[in-house]
Amino acid sequence: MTVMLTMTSDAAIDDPSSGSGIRRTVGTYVDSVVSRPLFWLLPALLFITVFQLYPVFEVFRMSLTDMSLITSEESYVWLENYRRLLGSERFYSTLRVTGLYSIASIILQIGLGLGLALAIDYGVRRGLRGPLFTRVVVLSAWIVPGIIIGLVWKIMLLETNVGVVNNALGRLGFGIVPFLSDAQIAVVSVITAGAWRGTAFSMIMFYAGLKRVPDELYRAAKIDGAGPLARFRYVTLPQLKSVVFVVTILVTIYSLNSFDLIFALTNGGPGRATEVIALSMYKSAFNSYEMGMAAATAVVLLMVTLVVTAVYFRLFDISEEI
Amino acid sequence: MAGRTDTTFGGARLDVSWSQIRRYCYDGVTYLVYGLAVLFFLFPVLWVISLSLRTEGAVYTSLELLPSNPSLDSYREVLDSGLLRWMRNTLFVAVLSVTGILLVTTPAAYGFSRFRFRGRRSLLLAVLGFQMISPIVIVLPLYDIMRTLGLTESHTGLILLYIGLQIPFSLWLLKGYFDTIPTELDKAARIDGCNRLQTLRYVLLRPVMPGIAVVAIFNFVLTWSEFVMAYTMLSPGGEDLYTLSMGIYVFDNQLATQWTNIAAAAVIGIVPIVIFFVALQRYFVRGLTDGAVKG
Amino acid sequence: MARLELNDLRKTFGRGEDSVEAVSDLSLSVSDGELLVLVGPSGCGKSTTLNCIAGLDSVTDGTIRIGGDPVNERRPEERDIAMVFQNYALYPHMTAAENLEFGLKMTTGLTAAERRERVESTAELLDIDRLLDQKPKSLSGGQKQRVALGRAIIRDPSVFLMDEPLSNLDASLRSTMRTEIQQLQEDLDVTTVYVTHDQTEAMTMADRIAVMRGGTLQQVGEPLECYYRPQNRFVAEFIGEPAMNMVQVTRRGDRFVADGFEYPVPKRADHLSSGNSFTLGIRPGAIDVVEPQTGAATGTVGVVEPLGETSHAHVDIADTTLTITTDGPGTVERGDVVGVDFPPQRVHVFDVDTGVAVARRDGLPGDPVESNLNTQVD
Ligand SMILES: Nc1ncnc2c1ncn2[C@@H]1O[C@H](COP(=O)(O)OP(=O)(O)O)[C@@H](O)[C@H]1O
Ligand SMILES: [Mg+2]
Repeated sequence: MTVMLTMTSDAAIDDPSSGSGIRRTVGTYVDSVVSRPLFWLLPALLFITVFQLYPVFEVFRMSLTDMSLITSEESYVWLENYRRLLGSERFYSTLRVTGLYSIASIILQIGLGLGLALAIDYGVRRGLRGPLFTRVVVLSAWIVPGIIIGLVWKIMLLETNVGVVNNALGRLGFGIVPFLSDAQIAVVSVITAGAWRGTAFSMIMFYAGLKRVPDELYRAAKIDGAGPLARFRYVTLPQLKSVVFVVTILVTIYSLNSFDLIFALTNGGPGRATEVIALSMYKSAFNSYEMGMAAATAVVLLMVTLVVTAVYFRLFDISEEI
Repeated sequence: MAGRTDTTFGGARLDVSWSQIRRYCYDGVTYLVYGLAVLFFLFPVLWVISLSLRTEGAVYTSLELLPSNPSLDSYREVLDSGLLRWMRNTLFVAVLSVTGILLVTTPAAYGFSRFRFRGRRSLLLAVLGFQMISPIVIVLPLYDIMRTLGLTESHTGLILLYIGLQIPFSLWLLKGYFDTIPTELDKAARIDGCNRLQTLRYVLLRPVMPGIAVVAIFNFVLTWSEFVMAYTMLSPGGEDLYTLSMGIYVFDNQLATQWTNIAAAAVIGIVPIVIFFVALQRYFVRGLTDGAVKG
Repeated sequence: MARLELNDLRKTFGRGEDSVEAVSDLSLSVSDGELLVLVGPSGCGKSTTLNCIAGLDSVTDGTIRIGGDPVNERRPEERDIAMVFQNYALYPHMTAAENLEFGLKMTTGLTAAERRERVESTAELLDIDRLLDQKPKSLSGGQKQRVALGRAIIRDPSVFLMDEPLSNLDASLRSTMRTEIQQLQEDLDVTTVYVTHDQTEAMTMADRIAVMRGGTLQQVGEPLECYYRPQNRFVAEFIGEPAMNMVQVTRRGDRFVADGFEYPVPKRADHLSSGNSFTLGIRPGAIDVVEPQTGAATGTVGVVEPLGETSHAHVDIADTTLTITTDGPGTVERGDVVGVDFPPQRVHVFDVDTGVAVARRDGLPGDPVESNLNTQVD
């Protein structure tokens, strides 16, 4: 915008001819400026450079230093952070937790999301009552801020009578279940809360995909004698292939990088039972002030994400879709 | 002759009723799915609302969703202790971030959709690539950058940061929308005397409105709920700067076991944004299913 | 009102290796008030040519003049042109009236009242005055195209550019709109370049036709000129429905011969060397059915497509098939063995390799020159 304004005023000074002449020249200047793609892209590219491109390089650089939050001095220690990381118990534990959490989340969220999307699409096509309400309820869960989801589930799963789940179980004659204090059960709790939040995303993506399947395809398949299961297998699924791909990638990236919900629900506990990589990175940076070490963890997280994505690109043959 | 006709009739009727039974079964299963989904996704929120309406003593006892003598005391208490202020902060940050995102991405989406230049494809793919990098991965350098620029502990900084982080996705979505609008409209506008700025303003902006709505709704919800960046950038700045998410988080740590107050805070964190979204979700879903976002 | 001239117009998309030359050295002039139809198969550069004239695409080389002035450097709104698009390109959020008004608003200093008046008179002319408050979404295809026409007319331009304006309409509407556009153009007397891929549209509407292929101009002329005196095989086959029959022949003495086919060389083709091969072109409508063994060839009737007044019959002769147009139903039946013949002035002779017409007739049917010059050799 600024660029354009200065150019137009230059034009007015350069051309002291008649009024319409000036307007004409100004018009031509505006024209030539706005017909360059850079004029349109520049602000976006600038923002991306400052807030995405540069930080990515910077996190790599930081991971090679002993940068700390408390001192302003820093020196290059090269691969020392990585050596320490790979030599620590904690790292493998967070890797394991992240892997477990992500795999369970992907299966749950994609399975539930697809199931719900099919149920909603079916209901809409059949004119049943309820699909809209269900869709809105599920989507609402996705809207709730992650940190508050953590809080809500913490309240739900409290290991006293206040925790509604334990309260109900108690009335049924069960003892208190240590939802958040048992290492193994806590992981299940975190995964459940994650699914509560994340299912909506895959549901809405699948639903959008299902809406795009033309009715004629179903009719044609019916005429060809395909039953409901066959129609799902040979019409719906192939049409959803690219959506499945996109959803899988996004859910994977999302779960691998989970942070806020777990931060609020268990903060990684008990012990390190639910500490995912992102959480451990954040803690080393802001609790132990070891920015270099934390950056190395972040780089590992990025690498894991990229490798997994690359594997997906290999597994799915999406060449025809793109 | 008559006998044969009868059998055929009988067979046909049997077929119909079988497929009807099957259909009822499917309908039944579908309703069951709806019921379970609503229970699972709605109950936690209802429960927290129920808790928030109780008196401190009533939390341990009953399982009823409607407490016997409801009270709004907890709300009064939490709103007084800063929540109102945090909500205002959040609204301010979210509105300005969304405005900024739209101001930056709309022209860029237009540019990517309407110009053909060398490197366009690679640039687009690069933008998409940033989608794969979670903000959490770069939170440390971002903190460093913001500290260097003196933008931590400020809402302006946070807004700029949100704009920067949300551009890739918004850009892709909007570009998809622009692509669905035939370029003949641009040509007609050109012949009617519009330059590109005017073409965008007077001719293309309205047709891409559904896309802009999706981007706006999505980003509003996202920035409203965002935690990590706000927590990292604003924490040292004192409570007055907090956003809702981080305020409630800090609150939760301070209040320990005052469950009704915590629940009230959570409800305040949930209800306004959910109402906002439910009111607008039609546009959101329509925008997504209209086909502008390719699978 | 103005004359439009294109001199050696060239348009290349892209640079270097993968550049495409969409229009090559196109020279063309459209006189004041003339309706020139630019016709050719899809992808031949028609739209590109039109966009260059409009100023929507910059030209790579050559000059465009409107009313004698070079306009290459002018912006579209300064060229005094208006354009109609195939998909109407109406602004979806504006009413019909606002669509008409928009160009005036952007380019003229007219007051709102003056603009309103122009909108109303234009709408009346096109019989869309009752649609003015509707948005494009609620208009039918034909109504949309009228509004699009109105948007062009209201500017009172010196040149109309129309890019396949009727291609999105269904067949019956297309033919009514065809007549209407023709009438309108005549009444307004505006120089017009009309682009279409449909040769029927070209033949029926044009003052002159310009046939393009692969970015190059093939022939410019009045419709009947292109029909009866095509300059090459491409034009011959493109114009006319059903397409012209083509037969590969060799000249032997005073005959053109092929397997099962023998025809005396017309006088005007006498200069062609004996022993060489040629492509003969004969329009389906020029072929007469005669007794077997009496005409140029004898064959068996295959599929007959009845159209009511006429029928198209496909006659298999040796290894080729000729399409012939016959009168009404019942003239020939599937399986009939028939002879075919045609008058010498209806035979087109093309070079086998270049496709260039090598013995064009001198005039059109009805011209005085026609009657004595086209007698046969023997
Ligand atoms: N913007 C463009 N970039 C590259 N090639 C183009 C562009 N526009 C048209 N072309 C190419 O130019 C040729 C002519 O296109 P066009 O003028 O649209 O044909 P027509 O209108 O006769 O169907 C085609 O081969 C087309 O692929
Ligand atoms: Mg075209």
